[in-house]
Amino acid sequence: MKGKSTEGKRTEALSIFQKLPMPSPKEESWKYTDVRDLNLQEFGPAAQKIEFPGLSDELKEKGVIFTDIKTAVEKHKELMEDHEPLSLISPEEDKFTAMHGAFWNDGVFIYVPRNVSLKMPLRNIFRGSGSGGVFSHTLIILEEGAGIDYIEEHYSEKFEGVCLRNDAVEIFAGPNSRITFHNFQKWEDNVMNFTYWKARLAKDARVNWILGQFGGKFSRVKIDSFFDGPGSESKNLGVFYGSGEQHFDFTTNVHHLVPNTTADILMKGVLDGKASSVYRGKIKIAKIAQGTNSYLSDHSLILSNGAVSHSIPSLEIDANDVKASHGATLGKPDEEEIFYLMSRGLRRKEAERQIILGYFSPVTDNIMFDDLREKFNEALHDKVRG
Amino acid sequence: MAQADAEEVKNFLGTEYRYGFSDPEKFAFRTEKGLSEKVVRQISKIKKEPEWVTDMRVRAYKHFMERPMPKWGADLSTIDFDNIYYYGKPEGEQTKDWDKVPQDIKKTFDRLGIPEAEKKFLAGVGAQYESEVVYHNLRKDLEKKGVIFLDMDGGLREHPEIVKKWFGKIIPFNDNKFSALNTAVWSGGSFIYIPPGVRVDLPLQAYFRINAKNIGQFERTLIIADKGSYVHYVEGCTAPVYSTDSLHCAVVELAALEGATIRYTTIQNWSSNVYNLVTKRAFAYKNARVEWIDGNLGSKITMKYPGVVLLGEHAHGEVISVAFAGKGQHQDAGAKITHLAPNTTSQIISKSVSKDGGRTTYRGLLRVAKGCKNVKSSVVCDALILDPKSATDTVPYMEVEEKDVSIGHEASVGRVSEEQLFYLMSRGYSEEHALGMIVRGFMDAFVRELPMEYAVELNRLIELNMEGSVG
Amino acid sequence: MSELKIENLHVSVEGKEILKGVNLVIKKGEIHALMGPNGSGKSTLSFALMGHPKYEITGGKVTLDGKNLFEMEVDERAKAGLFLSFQYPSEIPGVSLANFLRTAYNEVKYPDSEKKVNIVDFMKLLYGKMELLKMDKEFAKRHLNVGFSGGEKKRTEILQLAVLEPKFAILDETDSGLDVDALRVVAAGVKKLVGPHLGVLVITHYQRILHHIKPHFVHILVDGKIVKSGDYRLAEDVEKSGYEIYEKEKVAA
Repeated sequence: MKGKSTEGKRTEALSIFQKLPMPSPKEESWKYTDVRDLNLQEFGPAAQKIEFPGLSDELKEKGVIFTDIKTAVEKHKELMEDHEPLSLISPEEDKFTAMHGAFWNDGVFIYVPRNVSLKMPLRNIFRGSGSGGVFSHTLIILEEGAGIDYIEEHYSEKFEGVCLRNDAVEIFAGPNSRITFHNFQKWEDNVMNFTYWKARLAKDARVNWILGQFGGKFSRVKIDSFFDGPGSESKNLGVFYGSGEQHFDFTTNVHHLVPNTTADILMKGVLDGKASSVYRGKIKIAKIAQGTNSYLSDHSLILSNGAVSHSIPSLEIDANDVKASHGATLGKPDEEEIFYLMSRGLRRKEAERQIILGYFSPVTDNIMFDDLREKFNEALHDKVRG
Repeated sequence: MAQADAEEVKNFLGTEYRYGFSDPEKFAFRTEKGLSEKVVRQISKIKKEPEWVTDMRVRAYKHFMERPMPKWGADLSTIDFDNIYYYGKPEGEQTKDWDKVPQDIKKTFDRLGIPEAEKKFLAGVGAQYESEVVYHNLRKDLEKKGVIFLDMDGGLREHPEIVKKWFGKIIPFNDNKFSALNTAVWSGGSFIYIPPGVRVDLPLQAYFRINAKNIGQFERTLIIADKGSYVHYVEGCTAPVYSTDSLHCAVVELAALEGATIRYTTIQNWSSNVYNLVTKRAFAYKNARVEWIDGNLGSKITMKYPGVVLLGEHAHGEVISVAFAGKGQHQDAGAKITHLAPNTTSQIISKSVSKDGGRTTYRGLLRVAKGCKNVKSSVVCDALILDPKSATDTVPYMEVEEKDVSIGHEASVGRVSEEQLFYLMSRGYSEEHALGMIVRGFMDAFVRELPMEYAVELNRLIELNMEGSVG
Repeated sequence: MSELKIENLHVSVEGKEILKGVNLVIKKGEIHALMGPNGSGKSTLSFALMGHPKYEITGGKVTLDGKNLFEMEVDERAKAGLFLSFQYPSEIPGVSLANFLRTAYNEVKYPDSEKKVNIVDFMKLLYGKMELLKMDKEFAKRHLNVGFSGGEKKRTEILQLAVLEPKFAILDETDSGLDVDALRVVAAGVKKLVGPHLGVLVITHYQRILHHIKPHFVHILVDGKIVKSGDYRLAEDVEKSGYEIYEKEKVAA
């Protein structure tokens, strides 16, 4: 869609949105998530607040830009040349990305110039405050040698009705750049979420995704990482905790398109009550992508008999000089471990809490910011059966 | 394997597909080319079948015509359903006397070593040539104990009550497009019934051979192991190499009643112009055990996912498979285990090797239904890719609706390690032999499960497939 | 006087009776050794006392200071003052020894109360105990038993005993799997903790740990029953002549 005006793209996305039928469980990627009862017409624009902390003068002088996306589209057109919103994510992906393409109306723009590396993270807090549709677009451009940590925190206020979030994140990681993208969401159960994240990695770039999903009535997150330059690396680390009747639907795809790239994927989920989850993880290695190392592991702890877990880790490998593997486990917490902790005086609930905290730690230990890690742990504490 | 040994094997087998020879086509009867309701009814009429069978065939035919081709899996777009003969009856009648088998066919099976094997280590043998079983024999003592080993048509004639109870119940004709096709035009295959408590100590074997051009083989097998019995069934398949493709589309239904064990071993070595689309499923009742030992070496495309439905407590299901995909081959194989009762266990081990542009796919489903407490299951699938032209996929599905379970899945993909090769070569192995040895070691978990004679044969086949791997 | 009283205890595992009427009274300040051949039911006794769900109590009674142990959850038994040093402690990834032990300390010392030890005070206490047991402080940060050697696991068990200060401690085969040096270190640790405030039941196959921790009473368990009790000399007899004669006695009886 390159070369089209923003409005042109919108119109085209709208027509795709109108043309595409609602996804049905007959389609592979919607097999375990039935959205046929959802009437998308019902979701008129809804209110959300994005908190933007100010940027220090030093960073402004260095040319770092951290602003809302509407302002960016007006003021920083020149920086977007090949990286306009929706140049990475195609509205043709599915009905929901088309919907996003047609209706996105706010979001975040981050630009980090060549060889500028930020010590402190940039952070946005997204707060949904009413029912309807929210279409937020985040665009991050990292020039060669740039480095940042980005944190997005999502909350919703208590309100009647349902907020449908349909967000997208695009990351262009230039040569030798580095980003850790942190997501943390603790919505009330009035949010239904469809999110698509996509990153393109140039030579020696590093893009890490850290995902913490706790709230919402339903949340679907799809992450695609494209390794376009040799030596690039990505980690996808995620934790989720479903309770009540929550449904989670996560996908991580890594596309090894060039030689000598590395991916490491770890997803850890807990399911309680009548919660359900589906996790799909795909490792795709192209014919020329020799020297790829790619690992995927996903684990589900099932705490109650009403909970359901689906796991589909897959490999698609067209090169031979590679190392690729996946592992998955599903089951309940180990009774011997619980017994051991209880024998030291911990109540059952506390013993389970400790074990789950420990179970999440291979992901949470990778969070370098104490306050954020504490938020993950607190969210988990809140969710362990009281 | 030492150098001299390998040489010997090579000389003995030659480097070509060993079973690629063909004999003159002599049919007593053959339906017209292509598929129609007329052809379906004609097959049923020739076989003088009861009405319920004819009806099922016709319904299945209609379902096959309506059902779209699967959108997933291997590429089946090149199958020309109109260019296939769906039924071909070879000359001669079925016999228990080897000497009465028509000369040409006898020669074929002699070359494949069938009667010889029967004498040595089999309890019974069936041999199918094109659409009909031409030879069938069962050891006398087993016959006396009430063991039934017939071709499927014979089973239907002589034991209609058992057949009617089970036929199409484990795999309904509308299970998938190809089970529908099989149900419409099936002919031959084995029917086995093992009475309660009877243990058949040696394997029963069926041998399937496609000889003529453009002929489809649609055998149908049904095995009932009654309470506490044991049976091991082995099938082997070959075909000549023609420039046009053949279709093999079988349905295999197994029922292991309370406490029974069925082991079903397949060494599939179809020539590289056969589409091999097979549906296999077993019901395992309380305390029963079903093991699919599945080796896929031949064919152009294989799509086969042997299944076990665990219906009673303490039932166990197992699928141990290897796939070897060489030039132009796609082995899309796997396993389907459904836990429908508590305290059931299952295991899947899949090993695959691809080379010369071949592609292997492991596709699996592991399902635990709600309330099936204390289920244990482990899945291990490993793939080796021997050269940059080749490829592999792994697509396992896990659907779990119960917390009191322990499920593990592991998969790995890689190539032969330099260190392993170097170590063996430092001990005097040529690169090719070192590679062959590593590949055989990789497949050992499978080979171990075979009776000795088959293990030897399979190792030969692997050796043969490994020829010319070092470029 | 504080006591742990076991009366005619019968325990089954998966429907099979393992303990067939065990009687034993341990008073505060006493060290008892329970010896017996493999499969005699020694570990079954320790798990049954601690309340492992797999061990079914089919008869008899156990009281700790007059309170029925079998009416308590596992954690309540710990709070009541019972401690089990496991033969094979579980590995718990992601849970640091210090955090875990602080939670346990709060639960055991201040049950049903909001009061909690503050972190600084607890770390002081923990490091003090670690020093006593000659343990490297690094252990406090490590994940509970993950990647620990056999000796490290056993020392960590004894550290937990030192911190939680129970009334009665069962040491289940604390000596198994340790080489001579590791055994000496662990035994020295235990020696520092025994005294008039603690009742101890040392479960062991061999006499060697008893050289270090000298018991006041020795009991021989064969086929689910205590067939003989005596003083330290009984352990020396076992050392010399093995369990065979006791097994025969059992058969004869």
